[in-house]
Amino acid sequence: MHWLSKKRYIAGLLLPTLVVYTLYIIAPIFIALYYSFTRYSGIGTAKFVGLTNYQRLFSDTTFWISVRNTVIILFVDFLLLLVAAFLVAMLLNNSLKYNGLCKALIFSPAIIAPIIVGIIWVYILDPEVGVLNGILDAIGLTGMKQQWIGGKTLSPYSIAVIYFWQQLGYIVTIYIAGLKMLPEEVLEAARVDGASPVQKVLYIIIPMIRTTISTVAVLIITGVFKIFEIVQQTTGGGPNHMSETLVTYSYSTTFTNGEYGYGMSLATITFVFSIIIVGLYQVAARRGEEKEG
Amino acid sequence: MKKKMYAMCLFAGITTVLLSGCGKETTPSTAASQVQTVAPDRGGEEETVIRFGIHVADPKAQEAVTYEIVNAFNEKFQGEYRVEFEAAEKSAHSTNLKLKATDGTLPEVFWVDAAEAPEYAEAGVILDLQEFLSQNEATDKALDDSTKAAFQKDGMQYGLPYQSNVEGFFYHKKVFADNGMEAPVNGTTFEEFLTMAEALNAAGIIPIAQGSTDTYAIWAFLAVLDRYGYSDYIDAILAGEEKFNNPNLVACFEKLKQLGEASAFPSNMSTLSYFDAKEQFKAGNAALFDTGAWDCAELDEALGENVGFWWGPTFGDSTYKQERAMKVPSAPLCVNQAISQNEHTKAAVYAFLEFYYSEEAAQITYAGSAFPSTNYSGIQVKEEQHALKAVLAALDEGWESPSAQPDLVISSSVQAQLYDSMLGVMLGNYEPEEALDKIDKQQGYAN
Amino acid sequence: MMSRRKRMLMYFGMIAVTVITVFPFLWMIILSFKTNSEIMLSPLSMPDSINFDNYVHALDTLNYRQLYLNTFTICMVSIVAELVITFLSSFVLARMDFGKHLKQLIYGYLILGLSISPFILLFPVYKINLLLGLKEKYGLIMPYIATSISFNTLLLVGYLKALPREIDEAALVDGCTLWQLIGRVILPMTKPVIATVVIFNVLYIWNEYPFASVMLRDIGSYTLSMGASFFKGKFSVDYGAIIASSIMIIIPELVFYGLFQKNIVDGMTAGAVKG
Repeated sequence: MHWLSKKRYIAGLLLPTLVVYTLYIIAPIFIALYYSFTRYSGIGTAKFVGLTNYQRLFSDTTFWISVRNTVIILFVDFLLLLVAAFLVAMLLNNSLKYNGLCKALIFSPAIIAPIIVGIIWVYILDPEVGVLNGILDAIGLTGMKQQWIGGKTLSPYSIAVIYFWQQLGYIVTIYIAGLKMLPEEVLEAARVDGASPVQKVLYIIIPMIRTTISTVAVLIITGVFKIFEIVQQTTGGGPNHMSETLVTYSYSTTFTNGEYGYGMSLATITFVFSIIIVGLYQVAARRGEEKEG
Repeated sequence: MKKKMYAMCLFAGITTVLLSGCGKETTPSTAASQVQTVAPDRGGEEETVIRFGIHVADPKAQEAVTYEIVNAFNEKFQGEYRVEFEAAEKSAHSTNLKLKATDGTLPEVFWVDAAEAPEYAEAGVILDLQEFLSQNEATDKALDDSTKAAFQKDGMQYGLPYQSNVEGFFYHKKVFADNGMEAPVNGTTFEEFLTMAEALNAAGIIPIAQGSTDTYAIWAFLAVLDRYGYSDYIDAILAGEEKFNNPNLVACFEKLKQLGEASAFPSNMSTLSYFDAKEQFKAGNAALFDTGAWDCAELDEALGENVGFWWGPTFGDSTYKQERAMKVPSAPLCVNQAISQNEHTKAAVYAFLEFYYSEEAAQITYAGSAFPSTNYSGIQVKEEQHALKAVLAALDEGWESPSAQPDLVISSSVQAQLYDSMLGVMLGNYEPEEALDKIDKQQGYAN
Repeated sequence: MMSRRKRMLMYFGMIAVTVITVFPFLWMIILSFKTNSEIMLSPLSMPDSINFDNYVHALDTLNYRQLYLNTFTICMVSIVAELVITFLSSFVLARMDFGKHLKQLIYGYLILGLSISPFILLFPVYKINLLLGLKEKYGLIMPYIATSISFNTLLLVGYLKALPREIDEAALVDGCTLWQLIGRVILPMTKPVIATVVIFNVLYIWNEYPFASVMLRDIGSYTLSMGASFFKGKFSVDYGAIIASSIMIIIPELVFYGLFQKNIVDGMTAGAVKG
């Protein structure tokens, strides 16, 4: 096996990937960090200002609003996608006739461009032009009409629902794959033992698809931090920055407002925030596993 | 086998070259990223191309006057010079310009936000137009000193105004008439206007068509700032001696808040854009529209003789002069510093600028119902130019304007906060003092 | 077996969920046949007539051919390049012998990218491209390759590791060189996963917006998602055209999905469940 361990080959084949990856994924994080300590308008030179941007960040109301919105979206989507998708997966995990077609259709939102997803939902959620309020009017529930987008409070929830719509099929598919790997005998045994469906789900199925759930959770968390075009198209972060998320705020501060230094400090904080949340989840999951094992 | 490896690499390489050959090639910039490049020197044999960066996506439809001027220039100098647009909607345009300034692809001539232009000047990427003006006496004379002063800094003429902005409220005469109401006139007070708004709402008409997603579209309210003395103390504020949160501006923002509370704006203002508001007004669903003279031609088409122009309400509780109009230099046109490297490009750009500020161009501008920044007299206005006539009539009343548009004398991040604060108060999301504090905070960061 | 009632309930559930999910698409299609005033003033109504005005108008205004061509070009180049480098590096990590800890380290290093949001990278990547003199399309391809590395490595290493060792040994006995092993033996066996990787990345690049918005200045080199963002300027209040445009952009994607659906689903489960 000598050439399978020849250092020259190993290095040579690994190098391109490592170089591109380091240059375009790892290095930029440090560059962002560097700029977060400067003030830079986008042209000219960057002026070093130490921790000013971070100090400003903590007293910036819009920053805290964006944190709040991000947390709301995270929470709602975590719940919806973890639980609701699981239920839908259970529903679809059968061999009924139009099963494949249904699965395919439910998956379709995940493949269209997010920017189009945003555009589509404007025509559903806009308080004046959108079809949701129109339907509420038509069925006599005018009192329930809301400012789903463009208002002061509901925007993050709307964004969460849109993201849920987009990702539902994707998560359902992963769940179904996990469910399909369950050994039939165990489920059969449970039924023979007289376990109710609920007991079956809670005590047998869920523990057995632990890894799947874990994967789904991480996917949801990392996915929420990539939500961008949806917010941009439906609310633009407004009104008055009330529906900004960490991601949209850092983008608009950098590229629209021309405050590159501050924008990079926001991006850095967002990055740290997302790593922490994923980390926390991993710890919690591992602890849960240890308890079982 | 190594051969297969090389084959794969070769394949990838050829694919890259072939497929990318389909598109336009751009020359990579040098490592000195501040060096600008221009269209290659064709030695005067072929047409020299001038790129004009403009702040709308569709110049033909949205900046018809400039489109006409460019066409006229291209016709006049056919074979010699040609101007081509690089068009993008305002915020994309601004972002693009910044990025282009860093990677060396700034257009030869471009519109840039007045708040950002000084940053370009500081970075040394735009040309001092002092030389141009000294070489072209006629142009120099055609531009008033105050007009030129708007874009001078440390002895450098870093830009020349794109147009003259005349801003205020256009109103729909028929809407008022149909509802048995009198239209506002220059001198109508704020209280009187509130009463009008109430009556309009009762009749199911939106008083003021106003969007908020295009945050810069609050032109008519700039005169309101002025009527509370903005132009008087803004320099002191910028110098750090005074604050935005002062009694005058608080009183001013209070009025904006009252307008919001009186439902003077559309109920879905938070999702409306400037263009949406314009459509509302054109369709006759709103009584007034917050915009400037650049929309004259479009309003003529939609409203015909039913269009009137109003400088906005006057305020009894302000100690400052109320007869304030808003005719000010607009954002500047700047020139890429790199054109001086290339004789032909420089000549072309100078020729274009000369034409742009000529009397011929001024005529084209008036014919398109906009206001050039030059001072040629003898305006010929046609019968059908109702909106323009309404604006001219308002100008004739002799109200004085500030020397510069209030939102163009502050830095871009403070400007963004000013818009946010004004709209926030109008939408009822901010209290006046809170809103002004935000601007102060932003000003603090900008120093 | 399932009781009749249970079966009916399940059918009902399935169809209900499907219809609700698909409704937004249907609504867009209905809207695309309405005129602008119909859209603005009577949101709930059905279109007066089925006219294709909006589509015609949209086709007139945006150069779809150019958008598709640009997107396709960038896609092809990025995918070929990233496949080459990640396949080779994954092979090394999965099947070649060197320090076990070093292997884990490098693998872990490459997988980190999965949790990195691209947004923190936007401006720095722009600066790096600037430094290297890469602009427009060229500047866009590099980050696409880079962001695919983590996912590709995850999938490829997982799959390649599972291939039996005997293959390598047999090849050795037959006197193969490393390249022959990779090219003639392993590569053909990896086809299913490669198909998945390709499809996944095609979808990603096709829909990608943030990097494109930062790197692409020239309208002539816009990709599809940039074209959609252009709507605001070009179409402003022409809602009908915006909607028609959006539909024209997603239809090829849906067709693509329809054709390769099985691969997409298979691939994602392979990566997700194993990972």
